[in-house]
Amino acid sequence: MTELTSPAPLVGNAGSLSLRSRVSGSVTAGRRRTLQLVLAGIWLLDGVLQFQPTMFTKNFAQMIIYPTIDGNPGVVASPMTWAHGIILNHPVGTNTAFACIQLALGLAIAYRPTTKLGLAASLPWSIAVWWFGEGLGGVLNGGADPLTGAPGAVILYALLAVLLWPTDEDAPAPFEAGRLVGAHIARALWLILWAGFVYFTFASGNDAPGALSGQITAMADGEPGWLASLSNHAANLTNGRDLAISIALGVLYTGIGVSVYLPWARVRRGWLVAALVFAAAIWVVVQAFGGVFTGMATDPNSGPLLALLALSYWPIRATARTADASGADGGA
Amino acid sequence: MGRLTPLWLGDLLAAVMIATAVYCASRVVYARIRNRATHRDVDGLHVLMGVAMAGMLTTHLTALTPMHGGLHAVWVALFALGTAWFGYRAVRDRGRASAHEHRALIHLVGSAAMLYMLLAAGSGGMPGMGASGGSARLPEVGLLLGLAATGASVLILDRLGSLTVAVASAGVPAGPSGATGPVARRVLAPRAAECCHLAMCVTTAYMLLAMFT
Repeated sequence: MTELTSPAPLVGNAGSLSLRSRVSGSVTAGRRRTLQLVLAGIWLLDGVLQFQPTMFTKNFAQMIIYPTIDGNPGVVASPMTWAHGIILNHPVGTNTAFACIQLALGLAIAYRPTTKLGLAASLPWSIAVWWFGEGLGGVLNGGADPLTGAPGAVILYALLAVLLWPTDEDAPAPFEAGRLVGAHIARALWLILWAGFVYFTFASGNDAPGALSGQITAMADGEPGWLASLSNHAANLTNGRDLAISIALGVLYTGIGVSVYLPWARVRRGWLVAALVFAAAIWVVVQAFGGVFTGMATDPNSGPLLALLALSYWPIRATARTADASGADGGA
Repeated sequence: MGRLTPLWLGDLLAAVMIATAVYCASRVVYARIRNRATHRDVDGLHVLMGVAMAGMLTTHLTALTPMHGGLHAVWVALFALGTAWFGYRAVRDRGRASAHEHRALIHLVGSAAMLYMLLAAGSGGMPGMGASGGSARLPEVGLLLGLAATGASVLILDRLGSLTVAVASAGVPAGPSGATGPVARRVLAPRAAECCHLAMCVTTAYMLLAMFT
């Protein structure tokens, strides 16, 4: 495991497990640890994106924070306005702090001894960013659209921190997300998320003529040629078909949401694959990889997080469950 | 790092890169003097990457800037060679223990990322500089490499954490076996080597993503 090749095997005391076998056992840790590592990677990516040059200018406050204040109720908007003022007046100091925190969260989750600390710290941070940085994802100002990232990518981090909390691998669960909170609560959370998607699709005027194509076109601005072209094609395809597409999306969201209650594992997998395809499609076509090519992205948006969520609901086979039970769990 | 990034950030990262390069160079030298086995190719790559990245990150080390005239071609050739070598190693190690395979891939990502940064900016350009970064060629490749570098950072940290847990459980010293004495343990410590990988990967991811600004 070490970068250094040693003449003698790296072993511990006689009679104990060899160091090499312990380490390799950890590297091949279970599915839960893999999901935690993906979450850590996304946090790390957030931290790195926050270090982009533009974030150290007033543009961060004016172009990213300020637009999310508009339309929110006073009780939500007032603290946001206060935070916006601080960020606007101290862009370097505040952004350095934000970037370091997010980098630290990613590093802590990935580093096995501090996984729990990282996940726990990510909860209040996610909620704070969801409020002060994303305006609660637009859920209260009528601007929420699942295709563009509603209910706010960062709140999905908090949800994942809970669902992927290190726990006893022996805990029986039909999928990883249900190990800590139990399958019933995990299924309910999944259903609420996707039911929320149905609600936001129709309640926020996203089914109005031109709404969907307008959103896609807006996200294409500043992207590389091929990506802008792909998004513009998609916008043209959807133009004038907003209601039909909204209904189709509503059916898709409903199917994905209720699928976790279905008794047939194969059908559940099918709907989860649909969720994965949906997440990948909106991440590329609508969210344009979170806008990373514009230099103004603070996170990769909701596409990768939805995919990670879907994977955490992937049915565990009985044999895999038994095998996982003998594996190690991060931070547990 | 650039005109838009605070200078202190570029200087700080450059200092970390120089320190990493010096440490990796000392590993190679110390291992040779003491007749210890190390991965010279990996340490050599880190020395090159550290120097090249430091030259790109700060304006105070113009002599190291790998974009200057004829030096640019030399740096491109070095990292092309590195990419080919670690690509070969990744193929060779395919199917072996996953850790070996991951390690070769991680170094492949590092050298390929350096090659990309040098080629994307071209001779005379400064990939890390905000003002010119937005015009980087093939940004999709940059994004892929940036994501790969981020993923590599996570894998290294997981490995580092596993190593820490395993060392603590097994009750053996943190230094490499066969390396006696505090100096050898410090210079050739596996965890220090992993920390070097981590610093390289995180900085590489940052530089790649900063190119889009």
